[in-house]
Amino acid sequence: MSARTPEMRFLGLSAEADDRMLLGLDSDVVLTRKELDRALERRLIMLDRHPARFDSSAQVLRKRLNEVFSRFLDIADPSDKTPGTLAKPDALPKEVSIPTVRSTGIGITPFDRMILSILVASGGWNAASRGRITGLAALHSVHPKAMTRIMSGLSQVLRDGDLALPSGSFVADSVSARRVSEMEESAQKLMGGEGSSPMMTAAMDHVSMRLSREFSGETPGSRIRILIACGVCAIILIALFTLALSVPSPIVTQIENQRVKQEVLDEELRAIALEQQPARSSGLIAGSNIIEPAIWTTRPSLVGSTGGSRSDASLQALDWIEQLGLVARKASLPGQSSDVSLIRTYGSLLFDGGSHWPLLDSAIRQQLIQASLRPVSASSGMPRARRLLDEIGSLADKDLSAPEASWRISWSRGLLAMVSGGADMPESLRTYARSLHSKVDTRRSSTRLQEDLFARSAGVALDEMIPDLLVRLENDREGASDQVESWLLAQRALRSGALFEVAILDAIGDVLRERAIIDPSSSVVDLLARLLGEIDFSPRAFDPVLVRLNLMDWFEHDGISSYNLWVLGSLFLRLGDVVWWSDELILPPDGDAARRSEIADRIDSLWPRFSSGERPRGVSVPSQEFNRLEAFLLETSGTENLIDDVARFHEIRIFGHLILALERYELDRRLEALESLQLAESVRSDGYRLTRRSNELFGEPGRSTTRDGGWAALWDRSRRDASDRLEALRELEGYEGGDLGVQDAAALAQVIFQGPTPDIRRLAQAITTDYFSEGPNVARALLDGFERPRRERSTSQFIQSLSGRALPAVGDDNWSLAARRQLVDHAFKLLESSMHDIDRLAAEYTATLETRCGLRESVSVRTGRSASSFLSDLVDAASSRLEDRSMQEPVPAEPGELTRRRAVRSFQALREPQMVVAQLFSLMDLMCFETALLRPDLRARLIDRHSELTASMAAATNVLDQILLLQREIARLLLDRLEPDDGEFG
Amino acid sequence: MIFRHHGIFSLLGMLLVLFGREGALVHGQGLGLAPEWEVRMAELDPSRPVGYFELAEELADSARTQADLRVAGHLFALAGLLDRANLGRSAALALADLAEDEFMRRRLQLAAFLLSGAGGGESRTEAILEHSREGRLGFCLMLGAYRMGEGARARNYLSRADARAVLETMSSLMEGGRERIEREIELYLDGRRPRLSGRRLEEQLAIEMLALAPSEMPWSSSLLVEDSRPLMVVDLRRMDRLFGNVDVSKPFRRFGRWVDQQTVKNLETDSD
Repeated sequence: MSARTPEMRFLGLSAEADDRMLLGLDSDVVLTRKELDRALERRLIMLDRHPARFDSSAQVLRKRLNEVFSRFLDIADPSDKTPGTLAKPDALPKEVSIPTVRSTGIGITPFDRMILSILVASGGWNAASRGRITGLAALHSVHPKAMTRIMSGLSQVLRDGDLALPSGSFVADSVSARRVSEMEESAQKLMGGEGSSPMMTAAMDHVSMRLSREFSGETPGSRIRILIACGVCAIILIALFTLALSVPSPIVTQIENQRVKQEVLDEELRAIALEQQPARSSGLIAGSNIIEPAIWTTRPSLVGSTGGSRSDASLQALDWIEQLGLVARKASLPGQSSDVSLIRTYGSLLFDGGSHWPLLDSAIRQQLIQASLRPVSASSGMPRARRLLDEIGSLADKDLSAPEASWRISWSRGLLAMVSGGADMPESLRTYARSLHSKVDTRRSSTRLQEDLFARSAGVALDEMIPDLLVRLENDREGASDQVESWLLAQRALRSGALFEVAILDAIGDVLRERAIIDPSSSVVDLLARLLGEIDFSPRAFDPVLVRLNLMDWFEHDGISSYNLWVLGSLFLRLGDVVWWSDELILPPDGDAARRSEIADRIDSLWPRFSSGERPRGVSVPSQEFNRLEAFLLETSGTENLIDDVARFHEIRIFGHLILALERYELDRRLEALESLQLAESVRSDGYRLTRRSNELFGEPGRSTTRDGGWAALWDRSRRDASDRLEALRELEGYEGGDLGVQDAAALAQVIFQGPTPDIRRLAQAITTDYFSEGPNVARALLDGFERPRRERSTSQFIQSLSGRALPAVGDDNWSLAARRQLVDHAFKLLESSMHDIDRLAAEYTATLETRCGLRESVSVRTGRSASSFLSDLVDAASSRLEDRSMQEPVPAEPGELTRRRAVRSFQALREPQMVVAQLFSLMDLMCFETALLRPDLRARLIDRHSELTASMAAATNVLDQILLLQREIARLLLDRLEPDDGEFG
Repeated sequence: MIFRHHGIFSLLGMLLVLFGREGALVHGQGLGLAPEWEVRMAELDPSRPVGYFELAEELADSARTQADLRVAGHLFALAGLLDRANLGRSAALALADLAEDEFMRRRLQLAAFLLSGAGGGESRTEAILEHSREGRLGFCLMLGAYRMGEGARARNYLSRADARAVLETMSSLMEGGRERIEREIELYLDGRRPRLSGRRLEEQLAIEMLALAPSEMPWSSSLLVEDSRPLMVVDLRRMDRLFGNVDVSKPFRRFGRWVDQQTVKNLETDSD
């Protein structure tokens, strides 16, 4: 087969096509310049659009087209005189008619010819030719400089008349010279060469020339270099390509996995959709936004059985422990002829223990674990110990279809973990044990839950069994149900309370992730139902926050299909255990990410803070803990026995912790609540201890260990001599530090502030800082002696060093006031007084308020603030919570009225204690309103209590009593929101 | 029979007059009150509480004795209690004007604010901040000089008007008040230091803190200088107590005594 001609390839014409056909001119077309221009234009456009437009055959065809065009121009209709058209051929010199290289010896490249042909075809230098030449330059990656040179060269040729063009535009006359010049300029502008500096231009030219030479392959060296460079590039490209194909990035892997999963999902969905009824396939109930849930005629459930009784197992375990002791003794003896019997006995005992351990109570189980490890640790030789360890390892592989398989596997894993983590085991044994069991993962759902080594490893082994259990369940429902039952029993044996809850939540997540599509009729749904039944999806859960977050997370987890969530939602509805679950929480089987997030948010908002029922109820709290709270509150009923303000503040502090506990219960933070409750209880039982700081610091407070007045007399004597003065001051360094007598302290204070020279003052200040900064007498003397101090930076620094706080600049108008205030604070700090206890207790109370602010997410917490400002934030938070709430007969009043009362009280308050009362009163008012909303059944009681409290507040004679009264009522209001629960709590 | 009945009710009326006068004496009412006021009070009708208020204003304006003012106060209180919504605030303010002590006046003003439905009124300000910086520092230096037994120097500080004004403000917060410190200054002129109890020293330091930077008072010092004074709280549900334990169930004036509806009916029946 012959190669295709350029005419055929680019224009679809045979090689025999005549010139007219080549230009696409019909035979009846009058050949005018205009017509010829259009024809050439069309053909060139066709050529330029072709993928192989840069091919040499394309160049050949272009050349031919131009030749034909030129020939036709010669015979074109001479009457055609339209502007811009060529002059008649007769008017032109004959030799101009053929655009060939003249005999000047100037070499014209095909590229030059292309430019010239464009110029010719476009009727000279104009916008059309300019655009086309620019495009051509870009196509050929011609550098602007080079393009300028080309254009210059061509114009030079034209000026010199070395090349004749068949166009009147480019004759070498004065008119055309201007146009040629114009063309050069335009070309320069077009190619971006304008504005370059000569040096830059020269450098560029040099580089360009060197590069041109290098890449043109003119020399053998450059050719070799090009070959080497190409070879290296090729190798790198091949390597990269291979790498990309063989080692995909994790992202690519993930995307690919998701894609594959999605495909599988789609396929399965399609398959299911085909099987399902038409109404269900849509998922959406006609005329509403409610999604039709999956329907089960019988309640999905999975109940299996576990063999053996607990009492029998316990009795047997005691026997096994004894036998394991014998094995350990034998294992410790060296030089046994054969270990076979020993190993076999050990393996058998391990099997027995592993097949029963969840039935044992924890004490016996611990004994059995220790007894099982003893032969290994006591083993006389490493080979024997390894064989014993092999027995533990192989336990996991025995009789996997038995219901107790999960027990043995977890038993094996737990024992190996004990060996590998046991500090008393030889390192080589630990290493070997590690090689026998896989790594121990951390728990996914909660990191704050602590487990011992055995429980942790055995638990992880149980957690990892879900995929295997699913497979077994799908193959043999009845057999697997016993295995599930055993698995649950083992989980319960290892974990209780919140730990068990986490394990089950993880298992549910695994089930939802493990199967892309859970068929509603499959036994996987039964397992899911069983697992869901183990969790209380309410505030009654052991860790309600974690349960809620897990539930929300399933709806936002990429690895769980919307279909499975539709099944899950339907299951919740069908089981009916989660009373707050409703139709609106059913996700469509094909629900998108936005819808899933929406439902997760809805779950968050619907999650009950208070358990619902026939009557409103409070947040469930285990009865025992509720009783503790109630008893605690009852014990702190009166203020009559409080002897002084310290005793009052001690009570305030206790209530601070109690209220924190109650708030944490209300906000589902049971574990933290328990901590606060315990703290409140311990603070109460410990009582308060007065801070007698002076005793601890320097013996009897306020007394100098030296005779008072001695140093003052010495200083008095040294007044006239500078060296004596310094010596007198140095004398103080020999004193036992701490404090001075009253007279000596007064004399020293005078030197510090009024000393004769700056050096003396500075030395006195330094000695005081080093030796007497904690002396009460010195502190008082400094305060009383601060009369007309020299405003010196050293004095200011001295005072700051005592108080630890910054002072304004010495030139500041407020310096004297601030400096004296710091001296007052310093003297006060060293005073032996119960006032410090009040301040310490106040600081602790303030800290509890700060924590309460932190509990309310809407409250911004800034440290170092006063109690009243924290309370003010709490009031603001409560106000915003209740902003849109209303009650028919509000208790004690509408929020608007409460806001007004708050303002009135705040204006009345003067200084921190009263400000605290003002804010606390408002907080109590709002909490009373809120409690009445939550517990309408308590309304009458709340009214009575509020009246009583207001009367007591009006009659109170001590501001701390008022704080106590309000704190007590706040605690009672919080307790009103809780409800004792007799359910199973850990 | 009619005669006998008439005799019984006459006796009852006489007893009422007798006990009424005694009751009035007990309550400080009626004694010396002009008869025309009694007549006008007897005409008051609880269904028109504003009448009580208007009469109280007249009586208060023309009062010549404390007894007159007390009766006016009773009338204001009855007006406020009978029509709490419309007259409660005005009655509280009127009673605040009549109050003899500052504490009661403030309580009644607070009640007026709470009853008005308006904002919180004016914020209480630290009186100490109304004094000049120099005055406050001078006052503190005076205390320092006093503690050092330099009475002359302390006296010198107090000779400045601004420091003395601060002492006046602080007087109520100090044990023994201004008088004690002025007296003791004169006693310790020779460098002999006064023996200060722990409590007095704490108090003086707390007072200095208050004078120098009242907004940075620690809890203990605040409690000390304020003597743990409670925040003023008004129980609007017990306005009768706030208004001087006035019994609103006895709004009728008969024979110089406030009586209830039943008694009035009985008296009217008697007279019939």
